[in-house]
Amino acid sequence: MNKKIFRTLVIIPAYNEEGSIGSVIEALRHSGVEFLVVNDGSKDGTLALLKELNVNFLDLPVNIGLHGAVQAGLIYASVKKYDCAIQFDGDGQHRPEYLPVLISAIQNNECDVAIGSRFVNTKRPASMRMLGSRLISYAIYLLTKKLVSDPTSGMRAYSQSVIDLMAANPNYGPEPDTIAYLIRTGREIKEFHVDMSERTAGVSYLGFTSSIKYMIRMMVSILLIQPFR
Amino acid sequence: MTLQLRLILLGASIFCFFFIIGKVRKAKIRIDDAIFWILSSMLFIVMALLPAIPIQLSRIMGIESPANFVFLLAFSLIFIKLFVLSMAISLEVEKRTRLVQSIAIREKDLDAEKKN
Repeated sequence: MNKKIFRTLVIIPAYNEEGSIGSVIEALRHSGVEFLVVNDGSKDGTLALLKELNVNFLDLPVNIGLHGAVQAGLIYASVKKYDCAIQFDGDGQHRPEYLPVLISAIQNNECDVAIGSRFVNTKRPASMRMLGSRLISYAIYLLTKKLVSDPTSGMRAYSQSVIDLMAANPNYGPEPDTIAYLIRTGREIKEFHVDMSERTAGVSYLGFTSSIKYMIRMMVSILLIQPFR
Repeated sequence: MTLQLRLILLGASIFCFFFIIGKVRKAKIRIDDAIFWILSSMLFIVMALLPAIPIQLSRIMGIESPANFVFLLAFSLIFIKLFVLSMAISLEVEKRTRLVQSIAIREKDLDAEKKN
């Protein structure tokens, strides 16, 4: 029997990332992985840039948000029968040199989800954002008795069965509460150390009010909804 | 607040809580949209268990009966939610319009490509 080639797709959701997506694409091309950019109805020159650079991309006609954009990539991965899909930020924070570690973890069946974590060996710096991350870690611990040191990391690799699950169902957003739910339903989650860069352009989509909203959403979901789901 | 009202409030809120969870389990509602209802049911569970809260608040606000305060609260919440929903529907209709238009234009482009 022929040994099946293990195929990985890196999914990069992009909303108004014209300032940074170019260098991210360049770095990914250097690393030789297959990738798919999902343009989430950007209002800037992101689409034009993707066409110009002649990359593999999906163009969503309207903005549907991070969840929908990542899910579009996962549906593509599911239909094209990729063995592994990795969610990767288009703002330059994530570095391709850490992809092989995540890929081999999935390939060797070490886990169903491999998270690129900033805090496996290092302590979290003290900031409001990290307080939020700590609270989410604690909530996940209460629910699952498992420690996820960097639950909000947007760099995650999924195995084929998780790809299919997230592609086909609602309420499997690429967020910490889905991680908690996957742990609860018996999936193996592992964290691997990665370093992340500061964003190279653009601003984070989380301002003050939306951060509070995000925290409420995550805490309610993890502590009140997921235990009964 | 009378014991009967508190019991009804508690029973109804707990029922609602598990009703909403059931809908999440069956994927009939997105978690994002369930958050509001979960938090509302928790709010009324707290009111029923700790009547001191509505009693104090109704005193501060000059409302004669704590039960009236609870009704006012429920009414206000529904009013706000209704407006938020109305806004959300507006945005969805706008998005659907854009979506339909862009599909039509893309299909025309596709046809043109096929003919060439």
